[in-house]
Amino acid sequence: MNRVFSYKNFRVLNSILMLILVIATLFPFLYMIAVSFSDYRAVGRGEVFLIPVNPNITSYTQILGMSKFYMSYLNTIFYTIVGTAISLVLTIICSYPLSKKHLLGGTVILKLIVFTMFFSGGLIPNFLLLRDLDFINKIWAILIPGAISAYNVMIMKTFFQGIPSALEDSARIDGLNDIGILVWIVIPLSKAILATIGLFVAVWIWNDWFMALIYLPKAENLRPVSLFLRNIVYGAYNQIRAGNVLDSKDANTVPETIQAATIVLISIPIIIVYPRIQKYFAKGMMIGSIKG
Amino acid sequence: MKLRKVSQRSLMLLLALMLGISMFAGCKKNTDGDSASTTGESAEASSESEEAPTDSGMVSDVPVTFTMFYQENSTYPYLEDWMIMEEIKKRTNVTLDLQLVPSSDFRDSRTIAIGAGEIPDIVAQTFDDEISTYLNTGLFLPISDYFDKLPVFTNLADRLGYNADLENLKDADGKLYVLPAYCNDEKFNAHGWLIRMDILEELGLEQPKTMEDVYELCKAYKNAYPDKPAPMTNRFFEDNILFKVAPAFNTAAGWGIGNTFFYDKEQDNFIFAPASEGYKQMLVWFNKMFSEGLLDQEFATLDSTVYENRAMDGDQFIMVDWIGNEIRYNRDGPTNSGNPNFNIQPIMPPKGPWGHWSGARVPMWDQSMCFSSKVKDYDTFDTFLKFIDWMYTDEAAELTTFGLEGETFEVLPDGRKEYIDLTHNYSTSHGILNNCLTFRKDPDYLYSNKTDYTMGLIKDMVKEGVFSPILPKIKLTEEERETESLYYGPVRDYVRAATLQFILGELSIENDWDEFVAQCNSIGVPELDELYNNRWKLQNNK
Repeated sequence: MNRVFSYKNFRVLNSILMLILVIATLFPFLYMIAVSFSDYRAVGRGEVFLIPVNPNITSYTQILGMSKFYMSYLNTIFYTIVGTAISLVLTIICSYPLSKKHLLGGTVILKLIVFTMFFSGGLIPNFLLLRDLDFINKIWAILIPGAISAYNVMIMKTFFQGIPSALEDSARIDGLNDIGILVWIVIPLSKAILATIGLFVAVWIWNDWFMALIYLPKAENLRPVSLFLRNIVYGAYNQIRAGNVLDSKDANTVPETIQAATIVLISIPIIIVYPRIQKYFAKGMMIGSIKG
Repeated sequence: MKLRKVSQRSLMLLLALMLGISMFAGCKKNTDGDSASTTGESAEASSESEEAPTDSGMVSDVPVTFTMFYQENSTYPYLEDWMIMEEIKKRTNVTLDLQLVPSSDFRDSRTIAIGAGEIPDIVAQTFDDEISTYLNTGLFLPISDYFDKLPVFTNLADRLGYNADLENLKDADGKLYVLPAYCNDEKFNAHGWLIRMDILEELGLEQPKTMEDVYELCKAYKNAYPDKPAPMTNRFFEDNILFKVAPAFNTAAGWGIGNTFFYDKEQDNFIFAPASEGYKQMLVWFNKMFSEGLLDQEFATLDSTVYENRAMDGDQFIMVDWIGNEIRYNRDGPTNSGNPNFNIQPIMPPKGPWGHWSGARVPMWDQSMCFSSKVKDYDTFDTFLKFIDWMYTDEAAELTTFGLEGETFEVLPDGRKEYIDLTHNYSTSHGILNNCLTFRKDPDYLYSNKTDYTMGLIKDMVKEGVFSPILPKIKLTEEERETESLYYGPVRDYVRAATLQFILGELSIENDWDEFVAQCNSIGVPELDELYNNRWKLQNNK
């Protein structure tokens, strides 16, 4: 027996490796927090590391003093909650029938869904579609187009297939119809996958700015906070990269401390929610994959 | 039995489909409900107004609304109660309905709007070359066709000498699709050179007259303060500093590189700028600065906020920056740097080896905008033109630059307008001095918040002709534009990469120059050369 590869040694090595990973992941957050509480001059001089220099909350009072920030923050919360709910409902009613082998044309539909994972219509056709659906500048432009992801449907379908059909048969004998089986038998058994997909979707909606940029051109009151953040962080940067001569107005940038404060404020909720759902998350991922 | 099974299956499929459809139908119904309240078609709503001359003396007798694709700058985010919007409405009866586009993604948003064929009446911050490929869609208004209805603007253009530059913006069909915005009365651009005056005095040095002087000054600074960061640095990537320095070497680079071809006045043709002697000499200068540690090691990547803080901490000696920023630096500089004498001032730009100013080729405006062609179908089209024209009047220039007398500005004893509180950012609170809404800057703005020294300097710069007219434009046809796009991208990217490599010393100017030129030739420079010069000849024979 080679003692070098003993379990104990593995555990030590594993812990060290994990510790490095944790530090690498945690560092940017801690740095942002430190910057957001620091004096902007100290940040510029590169003096801030993990502890704020001349701690103050001016960046936060400035951000929190902007009505736009509140409005877009509320929008984001709304989109995340309602969007996730819509997405879960649609994903369930799409993937449950598909998980049944006896569904007529099921394989064709499945192939069509898989097709969209590799090919998309492109941005402008998508825009035209939403325009003709009269979604542009409405909340639906954010809630509906991303509601069903082919990837999530696949995962959920695989999970549903793992539920023993005997269970459903017995429920049918007891008098439940298809919808009853889905609501009373299948969904209660699928909490893990619902939490997993719910988290996927929620994080995606929370972070997404692109749909709002494209599909809410005139509805600035409906825009999510991610777009607000993006303009603060990338406003001048992308102007410069575009290659036109800047005028003195465009050459101004938002101080780094305010950028950091915005980032911190926007990351907090998702950081709080994440660990609570994570226990389902790990389980759901595993079950879905094994049975697939 | 079999039949029953099939029908059961199809029933399930039908159910699934119906469920899906009803879901969407539900959404549709809802959206119809709130569509009436959230969107209002701007022009249609106001179509009752007549075309007759106005009785009220305002642009329009009845309230009208026009839409604008507006770039929302994160340093002065739009507020609903901005004075500028109310005041424009009060004086013209025109409401500007702004479509707020984040500056971070302005270009992408505009591309999509154009692609979808839905652009607002006015598209701010858009230059002629940015829409030239879309002109064939007919989405844009050839504004020059209506110059007879823009008397204020055309008089202004005649009076201030805009016409040569405007001629350059015209497309191959001889029409102008853009109008200048954020206009100046003088040929002046705030992008210039700043220097730490107190250090110049301390070391007993003179202001630099030539690019060689800049090098010598930096060297002297480096000797005096060996521990400080490099005397010269830069922000906004290499484009910023290259743009400023290139004219001194009679070439174009950085932001100013355009299509990489540079007009040679004597020979009346276009030559490939990066292969010219001037470009080579410029690279030699940059390489010298960089290799001797006089130009910051991070000059091509330094973050803008870090840069500004360094300036205020007294860690920078010579800067390529916007004249006017020195006020901000001087406010915090003395405390941040701990040096009470801290004083940054603009200087007369240095000259290059052949006596060219390190100025810039700039038009007499900083911004540009275009218009949707659908405005000409409005009943209110005349009002629209009147409104555009009004925005160039002295009254509008004063309003959009300085705001209201007594509220945001006052008239000084010498008759000059000046902001009441020089430390306050009126763009943030009032929306004035706005590079989308200020079509023309008030003539006094050039001298606003400037010391006598700076005012004198600006006058000198204008008099000496530091800023030269923009290069003549080659007006390609659509086909030629396609050919151009085959070669231009690779050439530009290669030149960009090689320029940095030459400056950083990764390529040697003595050894690798010929290969650089050969490489340029192999990826399409001769083709571009032929394309541009043929078109240029045809264009001038017309």
